[in-house]
Amino acid sequence: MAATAPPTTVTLTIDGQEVTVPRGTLVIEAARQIGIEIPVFCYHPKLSLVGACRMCSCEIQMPPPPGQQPRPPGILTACTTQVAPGMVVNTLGPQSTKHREAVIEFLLINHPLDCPVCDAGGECPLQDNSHAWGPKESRFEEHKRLARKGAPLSPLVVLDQERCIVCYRCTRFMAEVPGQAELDFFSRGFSSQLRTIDDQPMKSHFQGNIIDLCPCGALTSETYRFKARPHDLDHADSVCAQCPVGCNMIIDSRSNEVVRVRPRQNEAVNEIWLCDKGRFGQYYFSSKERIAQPHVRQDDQLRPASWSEAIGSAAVALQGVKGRYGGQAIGVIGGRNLTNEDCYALARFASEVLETPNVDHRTGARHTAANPLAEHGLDAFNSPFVDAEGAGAIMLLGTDVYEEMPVFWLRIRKGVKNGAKLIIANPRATEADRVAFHRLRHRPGAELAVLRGLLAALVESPPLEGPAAVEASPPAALEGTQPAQAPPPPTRDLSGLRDALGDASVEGAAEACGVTAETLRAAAATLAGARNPLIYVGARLAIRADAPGLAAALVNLATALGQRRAVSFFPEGANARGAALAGLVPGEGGLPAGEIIAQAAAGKIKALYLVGENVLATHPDAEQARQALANAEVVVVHELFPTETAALGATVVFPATSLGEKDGTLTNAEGRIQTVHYALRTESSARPDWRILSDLSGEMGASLGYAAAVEITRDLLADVPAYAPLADGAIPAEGVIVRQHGGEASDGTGTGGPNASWGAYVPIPEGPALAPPPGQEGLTLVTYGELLGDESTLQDVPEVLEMVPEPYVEVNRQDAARLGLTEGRLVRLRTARGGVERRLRVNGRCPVGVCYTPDNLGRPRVNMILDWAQPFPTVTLEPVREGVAAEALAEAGD
Amino acid sequence: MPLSQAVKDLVVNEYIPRYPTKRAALVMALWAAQNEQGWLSSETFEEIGELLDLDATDVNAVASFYTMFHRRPIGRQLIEVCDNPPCLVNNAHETMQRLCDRLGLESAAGHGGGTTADGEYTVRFAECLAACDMAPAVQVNYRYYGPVRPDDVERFLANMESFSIETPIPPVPGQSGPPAGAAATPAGMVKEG
Amino acid sequence: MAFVELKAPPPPGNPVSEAVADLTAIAKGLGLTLRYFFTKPVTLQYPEERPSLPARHRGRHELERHENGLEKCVGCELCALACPAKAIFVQGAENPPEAPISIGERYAETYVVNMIRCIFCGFCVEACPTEALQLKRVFELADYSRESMIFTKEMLLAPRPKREREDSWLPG
Repeated sequence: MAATAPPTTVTLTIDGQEVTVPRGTLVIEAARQIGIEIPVFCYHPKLSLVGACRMCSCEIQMPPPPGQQPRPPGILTACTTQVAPGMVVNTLGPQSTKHREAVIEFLLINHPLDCPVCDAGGECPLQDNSHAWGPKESRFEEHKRLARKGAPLSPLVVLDQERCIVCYRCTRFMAEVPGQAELDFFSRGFSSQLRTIDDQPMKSHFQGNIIDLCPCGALTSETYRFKARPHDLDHADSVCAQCPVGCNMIIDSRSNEVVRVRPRQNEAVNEIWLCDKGRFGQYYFSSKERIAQPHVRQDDQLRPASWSEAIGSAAVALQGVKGRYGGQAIGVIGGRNLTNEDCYALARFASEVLETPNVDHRTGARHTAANPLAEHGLDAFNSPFVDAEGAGAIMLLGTDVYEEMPVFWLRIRKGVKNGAKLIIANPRATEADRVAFHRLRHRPGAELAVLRGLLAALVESPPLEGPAAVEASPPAALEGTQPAQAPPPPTRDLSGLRDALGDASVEGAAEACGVTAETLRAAAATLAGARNPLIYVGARLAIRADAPGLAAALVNLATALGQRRAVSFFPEGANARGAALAGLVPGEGGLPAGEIIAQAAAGKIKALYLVGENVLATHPDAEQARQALANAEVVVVHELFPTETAALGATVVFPATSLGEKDGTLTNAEGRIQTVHYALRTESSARPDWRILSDLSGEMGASLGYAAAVEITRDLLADVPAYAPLADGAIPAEGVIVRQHGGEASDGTGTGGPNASWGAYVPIPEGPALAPPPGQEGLTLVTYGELLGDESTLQDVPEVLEMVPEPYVEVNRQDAARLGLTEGRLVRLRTARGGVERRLRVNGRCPVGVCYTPDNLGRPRVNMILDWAQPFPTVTLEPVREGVAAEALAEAGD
Repeated sequence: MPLSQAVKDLVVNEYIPRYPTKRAALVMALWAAQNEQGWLSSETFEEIGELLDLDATDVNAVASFYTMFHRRPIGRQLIEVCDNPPCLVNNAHETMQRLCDRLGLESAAGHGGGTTADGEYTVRFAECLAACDMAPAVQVNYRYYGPVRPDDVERFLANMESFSIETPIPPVPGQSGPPAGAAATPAGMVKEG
Repeated sequence: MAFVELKAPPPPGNPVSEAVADLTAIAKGLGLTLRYFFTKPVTLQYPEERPSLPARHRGRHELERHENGLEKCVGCELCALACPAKAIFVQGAENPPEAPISIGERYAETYVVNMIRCIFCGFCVEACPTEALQLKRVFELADYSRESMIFTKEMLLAPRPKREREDSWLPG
């Protein structure tokens, strides 16, 4: 028999109370479990241990060895000491309190004690602990150290080096959580200084978190600087709508104005983090640029109008189109950034009042299936975020997750730290590549070929049978069987896949996608050998023309790996999942959003109803969108800001309220429905979208009859099958994951279910050729969205705008050398349609022959020169002559 | 100026295999880089970071911990004057002052010196050199010299080798014990104090 | 049951002794009047005459300045926090380094006291960490409108010192 395993729990005594905790627990955590709070500065449960501040020192006594005298207790830090059987901890012993008093006295030697000026005053652990544990007076009479005050670490974070107590929370966060060690303590001892290399401003998307972590006011927020005191603030629990992660946040407002945003802990979504767009990008709620009242077009000019006039005129115009051409001639686009309530009201408005099937929330979508995986019996996103922590391999296909869903990237990174092997298939290098195990640098638009290659490689060497084949042997050895005699588990039967693949070979796929066959084989082997593999696919791929083929290939891949719920598509838009669930998808015979614009441009759709959708900037073909707006007889727009779409084409503009001003629910990427509470009163005459729709429907004679958002929530939960488990009850604070396909709304482990074609492989439909054939003149353009794009939500805060990169185009060094272009040059990016000016970045991120530009930065947007039929056009770069400022900008370039 | 392939090879083939983690080879790598380049630039930090899978900031922070790593170019002759108590009471500050005056540098107590415009000399204070018997001790490019009393500065700059304390002290004839200079402890201390 | 016990009316008695008693009472009362006639009056001929206030009188607020003209208030809002009547509103802002207003990094951009709400308890003065706020001996606060009882920072600030110190680094 094997030796008895050591007990998994430990019993110890803390301040006279016995507590039993798992082995390996830290004393500080064990104390916390029985309600004893030990003061700390450097310790943070989300970070590694350093034991730098010594504040948590306690008297800890170990039981004496048998037959010996007990030794006196020692002073040990509770944050780095693990529990041991029979340990006696005295957190309030005379020695430990004296020790703490000394620690505080030492910390305050150089701390300036400018609490009346400091932003942290009132919510400062150093202040609180000094009051609770510190000496009444300091014996230090000399001059305090002088250091940098009010020094910007970036446009968003301000450092006061004098206040710093060198706890290393900020440097540990940056190095461990996002893995961007931009900050460190330079020099040593008394003159330690928090700096970045060469005092460059920080670039991370997560720097705001170090403000929360700082226990002493050394790091403060530039946007909140001296705006308020904690006791002035009104708090509202809300959910960020800047990306589909749905991070929980608290909006702090003063005098009905947002002054700051803090993360709200939700271990299943954002833990305690926020990205900088979430933290610093919510000031638009109280923006001065917002549309304040309805506008109606008269003599080709938008003029302010009353609500009754605007609603009346919209109703008449829409009734007219409906009467003349029928509901089919109306297209409704919008909803991906609205609340579920707005989406549901819009869906009902479209089907019951406008009577049109042409409804969609996915701008630029080319096919009707909102969820490409639906026909395979899967939801669009099939695993909860937390699953990424325990995955053996994670594949990212066609996404820059750091820009697209930054806080989810932290979760993936956690998975990588836990041992997941990261496989990245992307035409260009992304932030995530830094920790990637395999990098599949494929040709633009060749994702399908990459997947074919992986499938063919799996057919060549199939994975072992059984979901836990990797871990099969160790338990068997423990039970005493001979591991050598255990037959190897059978390999999975992939003959069905071979049939589905047809004649595809790894080499053929490698040639088609530009990734070497060895890399494809290695990546496939990594996936096959991993426990619990997960595949995340970028939002742009779900609306592309070859999405059905990608979906089929992905489902085949997941099936071959033995885990059908491995595949997940990121949604495009914060509440795209909610919009799809609420019914903002093309109805029977309806058109997808991209087709709606195309048909409007062709004159077949006569009225456009756009809710929070600036199609001129977001439709992948701006020229087509412009024609659509020009040719449509009626364009009704709900907007926060005076966008170009509203200015150019709107017949009626309704000012809508922002997320900070309304109650409702949002459904994030993983399908988690969460509640949003209003933080601000609406000071202008703007109204929530659902109320505008309700009023308009009343005017059109078929009132939706909603007077409050909760009524819609009630209807929504009762009406949408996925929300059925919630229909009777309230939504819990941490939200609930709902599943559209595949059964139970649950902890999210709902799988394909029996109806899904488990084990069966589906043929992969051939998509259109998206990229120009290799070997052509010019560069192939790849576009993605960047986090700090869509500046309209950032425009009121100059500090945040400083973080927004100047619109740029990125090329490989070799291409730049060939074209004779240098970093920082202003270049014109030109297609057959025309050109847009961008600043050149030269680096190794794009492979040779490819250039990249973000499609949500800069005016005009790059969609100005794009053709809807060609998602990856060939472009040329030509230098633009500019003034003396060029060199200065070149320096600031990278 | 990028690091030479020789230094990179040294780091990868010699230093990294010596330690259980790559980061442990950092100080050795920095030392090798400084020996080649004379000082450490941000570019060097990037290169070393790449070799050791570290962030350049981390490399920079470690380098900044040690005063013997230079963050800006230094003179061909690095003159360091010890200013710990035995040298201090032997007028090390005055030695520093005279050195700086002689080389045209602005001296300030606590952080003497600087680098001459021609890049020939860098002068600065050092912590205890463990050469208290030759106070005030001076080290030039990590070689010890002393005692360099204020009045000796002119002569020292003209002919350093005559001050080298690595010159073996001749033993006292007919005596086999420690050399006379080292043996004269109690009386010497009283006299000097 | 009666709460006050009424005295029974005195029985009819000797008219002479009654008259004596009455006269005595009148004399007593007039004597008191006479005595006060010769004592010093307690009333003041306000506004011609001004009262002399006790040293610790708590009147209108004033925001003090340093000798060099900079404001002592750093906009920390502790007065607003201490105020039991919620009469004070402070909004801080960053002190422009090129033209500083206070001595710290922060200054009070807005400082408002609602004198109708103020109960002159002096907690704000006690809370002030920079001794910027004082309750002065100004007590004539009556006015005709509520709006005029909102005292803004301009009204509360002490005048600039007539002679600024030589080493003042403040322009003007």
